[in-house]
Amino acid sequence: MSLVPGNETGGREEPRHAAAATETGRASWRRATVLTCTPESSDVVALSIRPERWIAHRAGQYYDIRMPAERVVRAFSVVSSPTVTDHLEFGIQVLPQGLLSPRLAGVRPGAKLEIRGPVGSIITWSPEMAGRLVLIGAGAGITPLLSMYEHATVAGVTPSPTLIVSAKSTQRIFRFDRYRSVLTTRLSSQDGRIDRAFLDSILGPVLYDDVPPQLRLCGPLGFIGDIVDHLLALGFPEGTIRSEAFV
Amino acid sequence: MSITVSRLTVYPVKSMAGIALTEAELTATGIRHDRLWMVVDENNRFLTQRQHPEMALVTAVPDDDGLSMRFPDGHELRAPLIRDGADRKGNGRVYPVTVWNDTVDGIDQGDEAARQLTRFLQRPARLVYISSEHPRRLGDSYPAPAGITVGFADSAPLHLTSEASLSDLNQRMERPISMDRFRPNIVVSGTTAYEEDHWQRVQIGDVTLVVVKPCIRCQMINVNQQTGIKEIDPLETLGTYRSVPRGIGFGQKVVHEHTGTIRVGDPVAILEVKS
Repeated sequence: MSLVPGNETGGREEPRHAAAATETGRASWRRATVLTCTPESSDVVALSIRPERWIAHRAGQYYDIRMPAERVVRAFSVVSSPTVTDHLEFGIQVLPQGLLSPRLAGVRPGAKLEIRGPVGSIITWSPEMAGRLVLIGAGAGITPLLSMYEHATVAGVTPSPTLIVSAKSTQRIFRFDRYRSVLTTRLSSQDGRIDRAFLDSILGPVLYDDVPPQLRLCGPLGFIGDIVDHLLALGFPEGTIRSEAFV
Repeated sequence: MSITVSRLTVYPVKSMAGIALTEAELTATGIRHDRLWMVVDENNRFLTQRQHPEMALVTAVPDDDGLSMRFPDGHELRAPLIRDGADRKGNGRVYPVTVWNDTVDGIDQGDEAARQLTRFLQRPARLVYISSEHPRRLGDSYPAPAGITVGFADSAPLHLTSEASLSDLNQRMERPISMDRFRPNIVVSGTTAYEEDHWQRVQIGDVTLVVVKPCIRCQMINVNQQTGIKEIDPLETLGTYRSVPRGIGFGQKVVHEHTGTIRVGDPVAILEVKS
């Protein structure tokens, strides 16, 4: 075997022309001020910030966040609707040994953070998209789905979105009390994981919609794999399913 | 235009810099030395560029006796290979380590490697080597021929991409990226864009490969492998046109049917396409 040490698996990356993302500032770090940071469930805090410069986002997008000038960067989905234009809200899952989330959970109003975004194109949704919106999430995966739900509700989209959430307990569902009347909840601790029969009982009629639905999934990798298998087996076309796994 | 192998790359330590090869020996676990080493945290769970993009800047050159590592700050480390069986200092301790949902035995590679990695990553970290006594089996969804296992790769032993797919992506990007973002083992040229998605079995050199499933991409492709800094693309651009139900696909996971040797320049014969 002949070895050529070093980073020689590709050429240098040089800009072809001024990037549009840079022109709008999305790709650059900018400052934001913490408005509130409050516990929402057993391991999630709601972080509300005001960016120094507002850039509109689409439901389902996320931001990279870091402490000022620090190198640890993590991505967090925006939970607030794009129709809210004076602050951004995030649901931050606090991992005890995480390098950033425990510190974000402890920030005080007035503190400064640095943000980059909005970013993401996979599970984005906007009201002009045709077809019923079906949102399926697990754990912290509910946060981008709530942004879509809120946007659909404010826009008066009909039929109203279907919102399905899997969690170990209701205490672990972000803003359960606010959304309990519209949530279809599957508690893995008592009912097991979401299975095909469960999805069929809720989504079976959607298969007969005249316009194919917009299915949006967010959750851990294994969850996404299982749900996609079930949805395909139930007969949902591949093109209707968009998913984002967090790792 | 004939299809040939244009690049071969080995990644001895999971998530560290790749090494370009002109010739690759395929052993039971993939390209010789590929992802046989891994960095774990205090819970013996794998650490990657997802949490530490700076890992891209560490080079690790393997030989039969160990690894020679070079950190971007100039520190160098020789990590002699410690096989199963602890010595008097406790080096070579075997303990379960986790990579994704798999737990397999890892062999601790000693305190000096751990010290250097902990210093560089600014968190507790240790270097482990995969145990040959308890090989990691492929998941049920893989057609694994007898004797084919995997090191600490995410899933399949090999990852294949094409120059044409990268060119297509770069046509859509405001700032072109290089192939190293995708950390493939085998890159082919002479195809149309995403032609590899349709392959079922291919022959390269004396080796037959089974194309198993699309590689679902994550934030890691946003790490510039030359700067160790995470950017916001190409994941976002790929998301606009390469969405599959499970996420974003780019490149294919591949399993070799037997051991052998492949070389840069080898012709690629398409034996079977997906029905």
